[in-house]
Amino acid sequence: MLKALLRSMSYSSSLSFTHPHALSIPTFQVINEDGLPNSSSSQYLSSVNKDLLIRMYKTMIEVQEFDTLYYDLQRQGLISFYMQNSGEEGLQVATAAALDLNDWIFPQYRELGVFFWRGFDIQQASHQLFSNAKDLGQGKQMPVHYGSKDLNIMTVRSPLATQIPQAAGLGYGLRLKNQSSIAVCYFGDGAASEGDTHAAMNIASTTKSQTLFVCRNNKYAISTNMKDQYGSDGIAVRGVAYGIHSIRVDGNDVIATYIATQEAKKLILAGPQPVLMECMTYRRGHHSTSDDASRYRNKEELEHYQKNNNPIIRLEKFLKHMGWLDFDPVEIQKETRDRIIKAKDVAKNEKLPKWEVMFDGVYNELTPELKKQKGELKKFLEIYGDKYEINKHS
Amino acid sequence: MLTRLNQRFSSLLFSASPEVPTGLPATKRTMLAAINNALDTVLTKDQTACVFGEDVAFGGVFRCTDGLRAKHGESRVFNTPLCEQGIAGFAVGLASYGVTTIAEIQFADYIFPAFDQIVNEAAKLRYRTGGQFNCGSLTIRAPYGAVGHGGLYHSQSPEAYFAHTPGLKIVIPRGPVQAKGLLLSSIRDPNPVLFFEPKAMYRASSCDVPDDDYTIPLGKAEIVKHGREVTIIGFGLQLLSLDKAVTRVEKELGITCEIIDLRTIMPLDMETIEKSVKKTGRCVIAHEAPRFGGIGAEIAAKIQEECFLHLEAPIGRVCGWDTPFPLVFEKFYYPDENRAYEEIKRIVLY
Repeated sequence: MLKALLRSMSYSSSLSFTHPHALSIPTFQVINEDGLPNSSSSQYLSSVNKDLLIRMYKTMIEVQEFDTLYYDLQRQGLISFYMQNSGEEGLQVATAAALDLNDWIFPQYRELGVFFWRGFDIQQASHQLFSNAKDLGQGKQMPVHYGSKDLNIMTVRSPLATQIPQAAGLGYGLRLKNQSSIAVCYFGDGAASEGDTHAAMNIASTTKSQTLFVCRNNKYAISTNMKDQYGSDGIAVRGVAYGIHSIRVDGNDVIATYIATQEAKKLILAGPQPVLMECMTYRRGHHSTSDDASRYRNKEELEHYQKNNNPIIRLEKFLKHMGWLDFDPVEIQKETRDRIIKAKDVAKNEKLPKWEVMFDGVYNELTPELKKQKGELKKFLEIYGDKYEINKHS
Repeated sequence: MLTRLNQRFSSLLFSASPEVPTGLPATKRTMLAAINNALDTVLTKDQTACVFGEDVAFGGVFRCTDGLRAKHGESRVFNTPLCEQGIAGFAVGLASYGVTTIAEIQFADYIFPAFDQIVNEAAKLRYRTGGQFNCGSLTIRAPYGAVGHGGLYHSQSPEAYFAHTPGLKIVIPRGPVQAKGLLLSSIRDPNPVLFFEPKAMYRASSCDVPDDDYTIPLGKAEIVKHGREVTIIGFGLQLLSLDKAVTRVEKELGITCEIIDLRTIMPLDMETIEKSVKKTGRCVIAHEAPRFGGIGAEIAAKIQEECFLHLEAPIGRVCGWDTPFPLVFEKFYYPDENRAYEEIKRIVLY
């Protein structure tokens, strides 16, 4: 132990402070903002094929159309709340595409493309938004708090960053049980400031968890721009500080993001060891339907990411460049929207969950006190049920 | 107070519980040895169970995990970095994968960085996911309570903060026999459990603890002494003060007291409490934690709801004062046998 202690110290006779941006981590990119491969990118293009990229494109359109419809429906009062994924559809499907269903996902709340890619379909998502009896979450949480046991996607929660150390723990469990799968957590640049993020990376590093930390640096945490969020060279550099292999990638370049995720998973399993991937992207929408981003950012910035650095447009341009655009994007958009509207109608007409379900799941079974309280509410609803629209519940 | 422990050992702290089978082969164990034995049992029977926390690898600052790493391996018994929120978050994640997860927080006084992970995550995981996920295989252990010289940050009893959170179970043993049986139940209970160990009891003498695997059920209080005139409710180390106070009050007032050890704070065994208070008509509740908002308040509220017409006196409480836990003033702060005696007498003579 003494040898290791002594070995880790190297002395210098010249006094110098390490500059905080000394380790300036570049952003990995394969296709540029015009959807064309960079000169030295050809080695990476063989990792993708037409079918894969078309599936990515179509899934991104599903996210886009789902977002568009439900943002409007919230405004009309049909659902209580919604959060869009605009601008981040690319990193969502690209990271998901590089993983398989044995990998575990710990989302934050802006990862709908990950859900759709893994098979959490539009109908299921719609049920959750309407908090109906078919919601897998039993109507317990706000809209967009999806989760699926079958698809190994841990249910979304509202407190930020709490999923990150949990992903470190589950990644350790995978290691313990010799699984060749990884735990992947997503979090934004804002969530990256939470103590849980620090706690997670540190413990994942020392326990060598099979965990992939994916930071969606979309430049805003509600109204707070990066400059008020951190002084570091983004989030990628922090991984290095914890002894974690780290990469920064262009999150709006689906090919780069896909490849980086594949390589990250290989690196994790080879360790085993955790890896950090910071995906540079942009949140084009408001934080949520409770926010109005025009109050804190300008149109010029928004237009740039709408036109010049839009993951969907960049992929479309690349597909065109490769001669792989064998479908009509407008048709796809229309067909997708129709499907979403149909699913919305089904979800909207479902009943809400039984009121009794409110008492389920506190523990694995009702305690005597919960049984007592449930009985009290039952008696109360026998008198007042109609005032609480009890017939809307099944 | 530690010296008082050494002078006279409460038979209550070292008594067995009715659920523990008699006549089993047993070994004299202190509470910490009983806890160590329970952990060893789990690690032996469950090949992926993990025990971790700060300094757990070398045996823990209180020696509760002594020898476990050598016996069960470094992938299952290990140190974490010094970060309670990390320990708790990591533990929730590992447990949600189904691994039997036993996390240690070095002192209950330091559990607060983990508060979010415990009350917002562990407590709510099954509920908020519609039952799709749970961290039922999670147990968090922490030493709690007065130790004679701990001051503000080595003496706290934080059970009330957590009792206010639906979804958690809270268990507190009074002695070595209960520590092993309750800990085994806690680990095996399919809900996240906080297991607070009275640190003053860790090394305080020893008693026969069965060598076999045995459990004491959660959610069930134990009547450790039957009586007729007043019901005394406590848990953990308080049973020592209560035992002494009751001995004195019975002699001086010629009455008999019924003493209940809660064992599980959450969920409370109100059935046992109500039955007792309906019989005696009087009740005194004792805990080290500050009086305001302590669990004594909840128990008193419930008792007057269910047993109002049976009550002959107000419900008394013997608690820490509403101050942080002081060092040099601990003797004035601590709800000891004299304070308990005075309160019991007041309620009995009301």
